[in-house]
Amino acid sequence: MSDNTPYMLPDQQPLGAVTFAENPEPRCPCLLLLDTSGSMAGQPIAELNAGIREFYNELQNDSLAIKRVEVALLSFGPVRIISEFNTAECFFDPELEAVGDTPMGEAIRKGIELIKTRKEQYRANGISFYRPWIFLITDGAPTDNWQAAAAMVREGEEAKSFAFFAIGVAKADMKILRQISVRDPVKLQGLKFREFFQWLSNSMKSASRSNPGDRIQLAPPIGWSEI
Amino acid sequence: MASVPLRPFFDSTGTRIHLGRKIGSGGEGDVYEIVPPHGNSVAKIYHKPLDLQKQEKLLLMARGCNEELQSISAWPTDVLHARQGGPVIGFLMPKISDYEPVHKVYGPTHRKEHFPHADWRFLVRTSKNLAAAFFVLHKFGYVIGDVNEGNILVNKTACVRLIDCDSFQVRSGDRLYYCEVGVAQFTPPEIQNSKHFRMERTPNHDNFGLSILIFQLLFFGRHPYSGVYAGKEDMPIEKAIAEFRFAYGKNSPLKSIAPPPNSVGLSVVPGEVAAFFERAFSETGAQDGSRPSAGDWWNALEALETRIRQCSADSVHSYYSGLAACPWCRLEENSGLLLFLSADQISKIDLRREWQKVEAIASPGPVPQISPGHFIPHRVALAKDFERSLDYRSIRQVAGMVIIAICTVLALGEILTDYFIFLLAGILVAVLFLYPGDAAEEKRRRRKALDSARYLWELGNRKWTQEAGDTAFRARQNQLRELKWKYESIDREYRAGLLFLERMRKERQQRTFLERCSIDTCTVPRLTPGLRDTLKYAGIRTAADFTQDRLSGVPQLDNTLANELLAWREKMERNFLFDPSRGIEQSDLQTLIRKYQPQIKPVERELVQGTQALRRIQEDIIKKRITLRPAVEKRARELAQAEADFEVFSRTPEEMIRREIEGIIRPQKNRR
Repeated sequence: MSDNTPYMLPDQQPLGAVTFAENPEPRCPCLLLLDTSGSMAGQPIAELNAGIREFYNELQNDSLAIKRVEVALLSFGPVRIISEFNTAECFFDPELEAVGDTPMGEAIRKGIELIKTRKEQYRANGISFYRPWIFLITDGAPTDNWQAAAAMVREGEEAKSFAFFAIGVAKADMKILRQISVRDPVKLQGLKFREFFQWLSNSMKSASRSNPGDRIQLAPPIGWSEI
Repeated sequence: MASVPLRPFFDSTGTRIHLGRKIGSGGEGDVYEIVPPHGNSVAKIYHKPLDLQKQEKLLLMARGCNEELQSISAWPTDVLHARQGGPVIGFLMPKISDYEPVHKVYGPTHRKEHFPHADWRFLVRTSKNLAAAFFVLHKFGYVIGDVNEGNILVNKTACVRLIDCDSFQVRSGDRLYYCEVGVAQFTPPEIQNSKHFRMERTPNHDNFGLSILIFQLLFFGRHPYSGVYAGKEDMPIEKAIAEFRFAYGKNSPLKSIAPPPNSVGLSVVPGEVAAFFERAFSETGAQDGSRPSAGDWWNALEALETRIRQCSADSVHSYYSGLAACPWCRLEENSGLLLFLSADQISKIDLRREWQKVEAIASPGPVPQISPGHFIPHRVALAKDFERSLDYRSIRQVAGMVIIAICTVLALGEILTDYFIFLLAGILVAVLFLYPGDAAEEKRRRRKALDSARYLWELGNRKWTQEAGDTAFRARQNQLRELKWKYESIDREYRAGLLFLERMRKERQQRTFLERCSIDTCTVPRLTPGLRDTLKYAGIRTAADFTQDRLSGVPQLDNTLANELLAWREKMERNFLFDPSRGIEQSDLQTLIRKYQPQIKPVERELVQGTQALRRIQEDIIKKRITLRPAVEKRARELAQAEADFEVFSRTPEEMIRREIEGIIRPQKNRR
């Protein structure tokens, strides 16, 4: 599936149908596209790692969310699938490193593909699912062709195949983000990744116990965004 | 630490109620413990002032409280006021402890973790008790409305309690207090598309949710409307419900939906129960009062309970006795799933005993020899004519040889050089040798009989060594030996894991303790708020993070301060008390079991099945040795006879030559 992924972590195991039979709860997929370009080095990447850890912790402590929320991590610069869609039980520490450039377009394309594959698995295994969420977190501007990816995002939003959110950090190019994301991108306040992930886990938790319908129930982004 | 409201509240009689620790928090309000003497109750205090309707509803519920309701729910026992005679701001209800939400019972993963001993009988009992709870509520005219996987609790004895009772629908005279919430997965089709829940809910609506939950309990967490949909578009669960797409129903092909892989169908429950599901999830059920009621469900499940049988192959499997075979064995075998855990062990068998069984199956030993050589044929004298004919034949052959000898001598002595004479002599010799004589026909017949006897013997002998031999038995024995090694190695790993957990117990307790000592409580005077934030940014947040390594990675800290911080950690460590009574964490143990049980399970199954197979093979061999023997012996005897019959002919020179040639072409064959 990830033919041009540089490497896969050795202990990642593809989830088979057995997992779905053991846990047939409806799934709430969430994909995180994480910028790990060189400019994120130092404190930003450390904060991001810590935020993700806490995010998983929160999900693990919620008995319904742990069965329903599935998170996939994809980092870019270069594009790597850090973790395929998994419930929080299977969490492992991502320990992202900041190197490389910002191939945002490729990351979005790969991410959408990942979602498509996962949805097919849900369908084949008779698992109901909520509309997937994609969160793009970046502190820069794309260094590759992003226009095609932007079109894919628009298409996906229109077809209601997923909901796409963009979060800008520090000197992120909000203008381009606005062209990629149909929803208005949000600017992160300082390095409040933890607050952001806290908010995200709360949103996922409430989404995972609400009606798996079309409505996107996100709390207002208070406490971490610049409004 | 949660803030505790200091001021007391008052119940309806004006008694002061003092709140204790906050034990829960929800969207509408918080739940607090209560200071004795009301220790068996808890209080829910709303965040916002309640409208009159809601206040009235709570008053009515508290007034209607009775023992039956209390035994099945966290029913409001009394209302609470901030001041005497003031508005209702909360209520008292019985404290419920040691219960888990129902989704942890129907979901196999969580069930194995939280209810490790629960088998299918337990799931049936839970369903029955759930029906009983709904029955009581409906009996008193209440409707739950918001049936969901989180507000129904189950305990270790399969008893059920309903919580969040303040959202129930209450009727008083002609006044109706709505339940204004709901969860899509449990909302019936007929109201699935309504925008809000400000409407009258009926027991028939509740019975839909009840049927869903019973289905989920009996079918390992599967939702009845979650299936493999044939259409291209997404089929969210609420849409599937609204369109009556019951994946397991007999009409499911018409609805373009099929049960998911690795699931079981309605055939695993009695016909009556299956018919209930069909009715509850179909269009007919949507007409008011048409779904099976809580009482109907109770009766059907009560009947099912008396018809549950234990699987003979796997004692943790219990199933409906109307079935010919255990459905869980088949599902586990086909899917690789582990449906039920056996107690606290990773394995259900005792390897030593199982191996004793294997060793008790005696080897049939190598195949007993049957050989033509064991039989003494009776020699029948040849008929007089044939004897004579053979004698003539010998005389002819001797004469022929004499002629050859004379010719050779004459030729060597160059006495005779006429080629014509040699040619004549050659023809004469050929005639002498080739003249068939009277016995030729008999010889051909015996030759044929011998060939056929030899062929039949070969076939018989091959069958004998294959089927009465011990090759298959030895192969199966070796396979079992390998399985035993495999089993032992997994078991060894599991035990090593246990040992490790045992050793980690202290370290982990200490670590948990240190993790609770936040950096904010650190009393080192030189640790300024700024430095504190720097440390937090570096991920150093509790005493557990205070290590030489990590502190030296923070350049803002000088050595002295770092040492002071380490000293603080040591001080905290001294406060730690190891509690040996706390054994291995149940969750750790379960993780270990969950890891190794799926590995050992197939080995275990093969081992048990292999032992049975070995016994069958042994019995088969013994049987074959009895049934095959006469036929094979007969062929050996016939071959011995045919060889003896042909003997007379085989003494002739040409037969000897033939045998020599055969011996060269087919070496070693037929030696046995």
